[in-house]
Amino acid sequence: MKKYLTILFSMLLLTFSTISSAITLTDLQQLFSKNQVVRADFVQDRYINGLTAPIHSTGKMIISKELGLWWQQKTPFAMTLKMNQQRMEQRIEGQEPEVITAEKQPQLFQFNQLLTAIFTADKDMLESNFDITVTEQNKYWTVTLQPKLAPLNKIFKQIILNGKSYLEKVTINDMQNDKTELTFANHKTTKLSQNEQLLFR
Amino acid sequence: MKKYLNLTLLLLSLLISACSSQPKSEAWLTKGTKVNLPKLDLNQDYHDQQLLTFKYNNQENSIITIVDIKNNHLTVMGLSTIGIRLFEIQYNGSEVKAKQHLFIQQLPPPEQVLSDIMLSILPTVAWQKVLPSNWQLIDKDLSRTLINDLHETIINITYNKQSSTVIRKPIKIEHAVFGYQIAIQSMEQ
Repeated sequence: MKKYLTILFSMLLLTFSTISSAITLTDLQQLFSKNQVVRADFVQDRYINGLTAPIHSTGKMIISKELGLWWQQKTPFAMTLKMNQQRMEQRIEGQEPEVITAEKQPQLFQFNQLLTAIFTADKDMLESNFDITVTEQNKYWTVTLQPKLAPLNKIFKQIILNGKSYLEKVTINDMQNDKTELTFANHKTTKLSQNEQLLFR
Repeated sequence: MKKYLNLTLLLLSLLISACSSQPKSEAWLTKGTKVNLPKLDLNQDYHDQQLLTFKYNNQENSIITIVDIKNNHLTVMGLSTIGIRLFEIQYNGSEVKAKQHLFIQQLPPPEQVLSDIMLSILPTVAWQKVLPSNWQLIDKDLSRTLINDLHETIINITYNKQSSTVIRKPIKIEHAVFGYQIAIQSMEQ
């Protein structure tokens, strides 16, 4: 479990890392541990099939290689999500935090393992599960992941990652015809301040 | 990272195959009192996107609901707080169709959510037609109260607007008999 989560964080750090030039999957993977910390603002629009307006949310996030993820949604309601190698914690403002551990939600963690394996920097793994297209235009790269095996191809139509210096956009198209668009901006990679470190506690 | 959790839940929600059911168009008001849902006979459409927080036995759980009434067809969609589909329930005035994608033990069943929402947004006259005799649903100032034949309060609903011809959006539903409270925060921006 710990191993998978470590790989997951590493992969996230990879995807948030600075990209220099030539774009192949291998190039993207080689940036594995460039940044110890990445901060970004996010905007998420979740388009639910059958609904006219998307569910729109905004906030900011910090990924630390050492401490895990801190994800704070500010609108439309305040919610903080923390995740490290042992636990996930979700807290809606004014409520007690909800803690999810491998013991409490073994299924969730099992699927995490599966997904982590899929999203690791393991080129072979990616290529055996997805048809992958990497393209580049004006230094802006696009990685398209098209699942080719069950159960992934029963769930996702396509996952698209876009970025230039960092990962800027994730688009998830699923088989229920829902779509999630996550956009990241204002990336910063300076060391965590003491106050920021406390956020992960 | 949130995307991973989203993905995980998506995967989970889809692997636990969505089950459809056709519950009767009935609502339980107390453990022993069941009524038919009122017909939908509105002259207006309605839309709300809201965060519902259920309080029961000192536990709190939240879901996002999207409530839509179009041409007297009501759809209530329930999503987890990170946007994963939990259930979808449709009511056309005579038939309820429910689809549960993911079961969350701590939450009331979708049909209960449907009847609470209907109780808070349909006109009192529509409910009055289906309530047991001597039960009353009364609008007063910023609240609506369901009272049984013994004059006991069964459900109290709070709004932030006075009653008018436009459907008002509830901000709190308290069920005195079932003992739960639903706080409703609009997500409309």
